[in-house]
Amino acid sequence: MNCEEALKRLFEVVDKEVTQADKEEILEHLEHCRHCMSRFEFEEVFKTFVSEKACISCDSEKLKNKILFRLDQSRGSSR
Amino acid sequence: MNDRPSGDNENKQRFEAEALIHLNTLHRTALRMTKNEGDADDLVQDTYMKAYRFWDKFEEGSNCRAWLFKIMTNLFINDYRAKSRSPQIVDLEDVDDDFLFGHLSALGPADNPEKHFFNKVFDDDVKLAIDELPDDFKIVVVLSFLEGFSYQEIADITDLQIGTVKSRLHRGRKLLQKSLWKYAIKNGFIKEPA
Repeated sequence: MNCEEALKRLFEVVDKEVTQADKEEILEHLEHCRHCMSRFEFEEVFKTFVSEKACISCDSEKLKNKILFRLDQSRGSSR
Repeated sequence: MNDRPSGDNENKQRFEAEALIHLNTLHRTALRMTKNEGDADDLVQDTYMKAYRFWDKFEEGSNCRAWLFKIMTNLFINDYRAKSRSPQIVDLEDVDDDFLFGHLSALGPADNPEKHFFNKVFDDDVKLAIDELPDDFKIVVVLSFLEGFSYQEIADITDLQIGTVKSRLHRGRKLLQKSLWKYAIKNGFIKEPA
């Protein structure tokens, strides 16, 4: 496998969309190619970074009560 | 209504146990989709009301979370987006696949610009960068990055071909990297090379 072939699969690897066999083949290339290795690592860190920064959990307690209230109402009106 | 038939109660209990437990992840995605709390609240509520109406269509044992996201994504695209449609500025200028990596590497290895970048960029900048993505790209980015859905699951949720999911995710990633690079320069975390 060369760099071009490895980079073509880059985002599939980051998104965990490759089979174990494909992954091993790609990893073998990365072991011998520092440039590709740092690129793959970078994109993995980038994805984790974005998901962690944007995934701050929000307070859904009030919303839950509103939904429960509306569910009760809809059941009441359907009778 | 204290004398509700037991079937009704059972249904409610099953809905709460299987559907309502996903409220928090739907809520955070709704916030990114609609960009404001009021609309996010309404979107999630409408999603649950619709889900409850079609609860008998939900196949027990299948992926309830994905089913709820499908309902919510459809509501967002058909109702909310149409309602609040602000002109979407699509960044037509294409950037290289390795936009951010290339720019950061070009700063030289001396002070580890990548690490610097990831340590400095604010949570709010990341949220803003996602919020500013055109909806078509934002939806797939949020479903993949924040919610961890697979390409196939995203295709099912959005009714898109898997190839379209991949290309939108690819483009969305690049747009996201470009925005974050701009913010990093604007905030002085990174000095733009002369």
